[in-house]
Amino acid sequence: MKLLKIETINLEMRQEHFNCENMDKYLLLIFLMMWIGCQSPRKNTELALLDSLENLEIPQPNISDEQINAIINQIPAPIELSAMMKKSGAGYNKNYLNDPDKYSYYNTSFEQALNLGIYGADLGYSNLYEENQQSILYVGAIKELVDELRIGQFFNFETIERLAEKRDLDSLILLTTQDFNEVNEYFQEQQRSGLSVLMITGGWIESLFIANQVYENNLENTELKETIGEQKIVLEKILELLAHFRESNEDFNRLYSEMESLMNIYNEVVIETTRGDPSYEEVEGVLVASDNSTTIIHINDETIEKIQSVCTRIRDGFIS
Amino acid sequence: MDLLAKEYMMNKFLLKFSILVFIIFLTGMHVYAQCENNTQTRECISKIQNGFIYVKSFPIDGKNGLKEKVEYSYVMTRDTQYYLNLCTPENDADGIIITIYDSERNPVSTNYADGRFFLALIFQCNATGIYYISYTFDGSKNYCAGSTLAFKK
Repeated sequence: MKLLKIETINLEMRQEHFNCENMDKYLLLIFLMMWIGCQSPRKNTELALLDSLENLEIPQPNISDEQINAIINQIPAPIELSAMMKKSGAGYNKNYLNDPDKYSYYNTSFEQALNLGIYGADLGYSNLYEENQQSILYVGAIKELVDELRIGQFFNFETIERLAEKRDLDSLILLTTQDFNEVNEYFQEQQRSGLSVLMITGGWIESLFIANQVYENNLENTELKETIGEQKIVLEKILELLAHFRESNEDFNRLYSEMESLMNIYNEVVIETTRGDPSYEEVEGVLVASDNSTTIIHINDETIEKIQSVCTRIRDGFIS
Repeated sequence: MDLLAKEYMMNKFLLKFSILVFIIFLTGMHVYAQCENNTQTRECISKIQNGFIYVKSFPIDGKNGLKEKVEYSYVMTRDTQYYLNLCTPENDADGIIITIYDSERNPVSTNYADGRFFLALIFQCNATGIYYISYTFDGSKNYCAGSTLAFKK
């Protein structure tokens, strides 16, 4: 009888224990569900995209992603160079740009990312000159490449085309710049900054190529000549980026060598800066500071011809 | 024995439940304290002064005061005006000081002058080179903001 009672107690204890264990499991499940529920819905999409991006062979840099991203953020947007060309009074010339129908030539993610940067620069240039029909063609080419690179979700092509048709220049430039920035941020977040580096390199080479073409037809424009010369600072940054990828990938290594050959010519350019204290004034609630430093760019005609020649060779290699 | 065992199991369950509730509470606190500056960044884009072209957004997250400064760098070009604004949940500068330094770390522009914080600054760049855009905190409540860079030739 006593034995039976002990058995019953043990059974009850096991049942209680089983119930408590189940309770624990339920609690854990509730906690997990709450935690998953708190995650941003974008994360799931990002995970799916990350899976698809893993199929793209992109090398990893030999320094931290934070360091790479910091350098990437230093590179000026191609539209700054385009704005300088427009300010110089030079007219629009679509013959300077890459053919928007050539997107199908670019089959690897390496080529696609480089030419995405090139088409992005062409789009910015066309937008600035309000060449809306050309802009629409470049939007089409970009759409094809971003679909191949599986980043189409960052571009609202319907809105971009509508803005181009309406000639809403400010909104168009703003939206396309934002979209390209988001793509860059996304690549950086996903440890795919190699693709950002390629986009930046392509965009910069295209802007430099356009500047060279504009200068060739405006040889008296010393401001434009000096602008081409001071691109040495940007090229130094691009080489710094590429250097961190060249060891892990042969395509990056070749690209680095090409850009290095351009740097060898740029080493003939001397940039002389004289420092001066800034002065301040308040204008309509905004603090305006004028930097009283100055820069003198020393670049001769022979150097600029060599820059034009090497830049054209590199760019031809990218777009063909 | 029966009651003791039940009480023991119940206490064990309550202890685990309390720990879980505490973890959930902490997680909630963490989410609450996170700097979600996308709204401020978007707001800043819409506030760019007419005539300037947007180039970049800079999120500012001082990690509730754990970070002394947030810094970005950018190659600025001479004969260009750069516009830099600041947007916070407080709709004022919230003690955030923007300082632009040249490549030799000389300060060349700020949004803080004569004891006043400005929500935007314009920097007339006359020397091409790397510039450091630094955000520091002086009595900030949120340590969280958005900022955008735009230019005009």
